[in-house]
Amino acid sequence: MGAVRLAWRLQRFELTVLVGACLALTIGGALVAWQLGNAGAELATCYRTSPDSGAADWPCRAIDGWVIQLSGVGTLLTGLGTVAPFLMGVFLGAPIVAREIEHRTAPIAWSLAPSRRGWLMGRILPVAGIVALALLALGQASEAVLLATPPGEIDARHLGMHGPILAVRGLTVLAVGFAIGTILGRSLPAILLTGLVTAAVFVGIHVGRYEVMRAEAAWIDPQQGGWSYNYVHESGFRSDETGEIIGFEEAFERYPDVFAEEQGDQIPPGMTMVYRVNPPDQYPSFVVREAGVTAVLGVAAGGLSLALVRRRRPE
Amino acid sequence: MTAALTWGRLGFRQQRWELILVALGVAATAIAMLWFASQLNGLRAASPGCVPPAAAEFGSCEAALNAYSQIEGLADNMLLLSFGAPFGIGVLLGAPLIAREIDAGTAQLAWSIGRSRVSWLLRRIAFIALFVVVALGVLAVTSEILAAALAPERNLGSDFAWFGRRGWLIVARGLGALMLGMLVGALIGRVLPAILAAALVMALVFTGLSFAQDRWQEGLTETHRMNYSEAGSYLDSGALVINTGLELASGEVVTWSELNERGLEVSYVDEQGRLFASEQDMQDGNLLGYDVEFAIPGARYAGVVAAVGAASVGVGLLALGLTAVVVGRRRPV
Repeated sequence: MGAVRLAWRLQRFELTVLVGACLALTIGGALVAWQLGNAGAELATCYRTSPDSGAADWPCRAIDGWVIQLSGVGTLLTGLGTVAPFLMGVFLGAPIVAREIEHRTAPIAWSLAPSRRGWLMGRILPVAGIVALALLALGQASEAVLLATPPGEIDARHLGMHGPILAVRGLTVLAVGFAIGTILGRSLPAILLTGLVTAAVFVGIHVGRYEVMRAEAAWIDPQQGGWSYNYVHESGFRSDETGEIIGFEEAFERYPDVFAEEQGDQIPPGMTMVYRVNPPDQYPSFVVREAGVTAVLGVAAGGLSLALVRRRRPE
Repeated sequence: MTAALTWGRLGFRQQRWELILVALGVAATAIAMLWFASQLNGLRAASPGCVPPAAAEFGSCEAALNAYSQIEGLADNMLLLSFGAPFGIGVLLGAPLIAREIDAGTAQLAWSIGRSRVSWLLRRIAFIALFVVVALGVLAVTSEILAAALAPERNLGSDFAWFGRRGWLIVARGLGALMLGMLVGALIGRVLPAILAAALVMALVFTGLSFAQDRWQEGLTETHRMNYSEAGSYLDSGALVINTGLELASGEVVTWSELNERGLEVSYVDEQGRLFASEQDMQDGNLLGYDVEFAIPGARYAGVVAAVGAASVGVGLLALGLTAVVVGRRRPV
């Protein structure tokens, strides 16, 4: 309890602003999800009795407008929720050790405390606990908003916007902040560098994930598989007879007459247009793998901070 | 001259890390912008029959179009960076400028030794303000070069494309943001809280400014009827469309929200952009009105940029004045 009180006193302003904003987003998200659920059900009922939305006196227009407004607010909230782990990690993680080194309270504490590891844990665990709880709640609220927003589907476009991965990301950035703060020993430079390193790390993770998704994507006939694919990596034509897949450029060279006609579906004879996509059932596996990689990076950064604190000279 | 150099050196030493990181960030962004510009120009030169997309032939240009659209999308995102840069730099360099000195107790010492707190304040900010002007000036120039590579067929001097994301408006906004950050730092007197608070205040002030700008721009608009059947009957492509609405059959012009308030609905549009309340009205020829756009012509681009930039600098000067008051009245705790 004493550690929590000390953490609060050391980072009162930052915790109030960032955790307060996170809680506000969570409550806002929960309210929007609840209202969207109600309004969506009301609209569906109304739509069953009055399906002609083009009619001037369409009775569902007010409900439809309300659903659109709520969806807009929901999009804003989930967008902010996506950024929240990074902001919390950078602003709460980087200064924890850096500030104590900068103000020279760390060397005094190290000389008095039985172990530096214990001192470090006392500093970071309360903040990590608060961040994890706040982001877990926010992740659930964001998920509720996404599920309540028409069409109520969660797919690869929403990776990193909902669920426990928000907490995993927040804790990893926090750990990266601890490590950089310990190396630099100054708050503001540590915040800036943590921001840059975080951006580089997560851009790298994003690029890596995209390549994995691309490698695991399958060729699908959209007419049969439905149109709910949002990560279309490439498109082409598949021979109905041999199963060979060719791109648009090759198809244009092989069948110039088909593409010369302005009318028609512009699909070569004996071929089907296909898309290379990730089927929806692959999504949970991408989330788990990305969360795993992120968590490993976080643990590595946390271990590095521990080693750095233990080896740092008490200047 | 020597005194100015001394203050400049002091400014650099106190914010060395932040200045180096900002300089590196600006340099990386500027180099990336120039690289993207050269890539876009190179792709156009290599495949004149395919790029720009309007000239492309379906099918045969797939590879060239894919390469171009990928670079184009990334280049467009680079211009988003130049939109955010003034605010980011304002927060990072402005907020800690005075807050750090108050936090560390050096400001109080300087105030007790110096003759005037205001002259201390001006000397403290001069170097940073100059740095911000130079750094954002580099982005202003490179963003113009990138925008020109994205749309070489357009005259960007009289075109609202990428408004606020290129040119000298970036520098003006940066100066305003810097002074605003400094004011928040002087009020709070602690570095980290000042950075967080400055980010919030900046978001509020510049959003407010943006709303005021929207209202002002509404007064500059010209009304143009839209005609879907004739190519080139729209406004010039460089115009800034502020709103859309309806020219009623009576000649009265209303926005869509005004139309909704009157309980009027438009359900059918023909190829000439003529609007009808119902299918029956369309068959009977009972016209409701025409689709119109309210837009500022591209020729007014320079004037609008100058006014918006002046408003940002004005906010900055107001913040500087308030900072001088805060510094002047602050107790030497």
